[in-house]
Amino acid sequence: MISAIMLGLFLLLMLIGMPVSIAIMLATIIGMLIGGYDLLAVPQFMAAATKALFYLQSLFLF
Amino acid sequence: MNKFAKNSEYIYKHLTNLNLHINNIAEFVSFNLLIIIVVINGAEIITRTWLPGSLYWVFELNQLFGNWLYFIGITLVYYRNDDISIDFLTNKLSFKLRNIVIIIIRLIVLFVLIVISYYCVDLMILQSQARTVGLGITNHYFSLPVFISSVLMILYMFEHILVLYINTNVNLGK
Repeated sequence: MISAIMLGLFLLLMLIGMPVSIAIMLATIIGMLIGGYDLLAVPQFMAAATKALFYLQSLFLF
Repeated sequence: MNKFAKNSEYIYKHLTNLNLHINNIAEFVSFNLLIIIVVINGAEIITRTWLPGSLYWVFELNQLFGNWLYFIGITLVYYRNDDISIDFLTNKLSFKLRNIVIIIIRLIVLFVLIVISYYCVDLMILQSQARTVGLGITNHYFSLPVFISSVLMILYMFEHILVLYINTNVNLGK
């Protein structure tokens, strides 16, 4: 249910002209608030999400 | 022109100057970080393939510099106000209404960035008690760029709001 709310919010925010990165963040924050999660996890996941960098590097190196 | 509009122009003038300098530094930092990342990874591949041993420190530095590159890099996008957005509906509105909607959107963006920076401080305080296994880098250095980029984007967003406010006032002849 929360995932559906987050997806719906994301699409709605995008339609009214919100930048994509902020639309994702805001939908996540609202979804987490509804679910009763601590918002401390938001910057934590943001910082941890850069592990995909290694795939980007392979483009430069090979 | 009322006093608030005059003050807005004064703040805008100085903020633009400040943001320009910050953006130049951010460009320099992100450009050099990308070079460093490519060089140390290239060195790791060479040492691992043709020389005995491996550069054990590359993995952690990769993640550290990667975080800094990502989050300092995204501020360059926000400085130019170039993040992807759908303007299909807002373009159909009248000039005044469109500017009001855009100002509201930018205020929401500002709010989200303030929330992120607030929780980032809490996260860094927690992470300052732990270190990485290999090089012993304190963990809050991995989250610090998230905080810095949020603060920089707040400054840029504030400038974008001011410029829109001033333009709206000028075009409406106030």
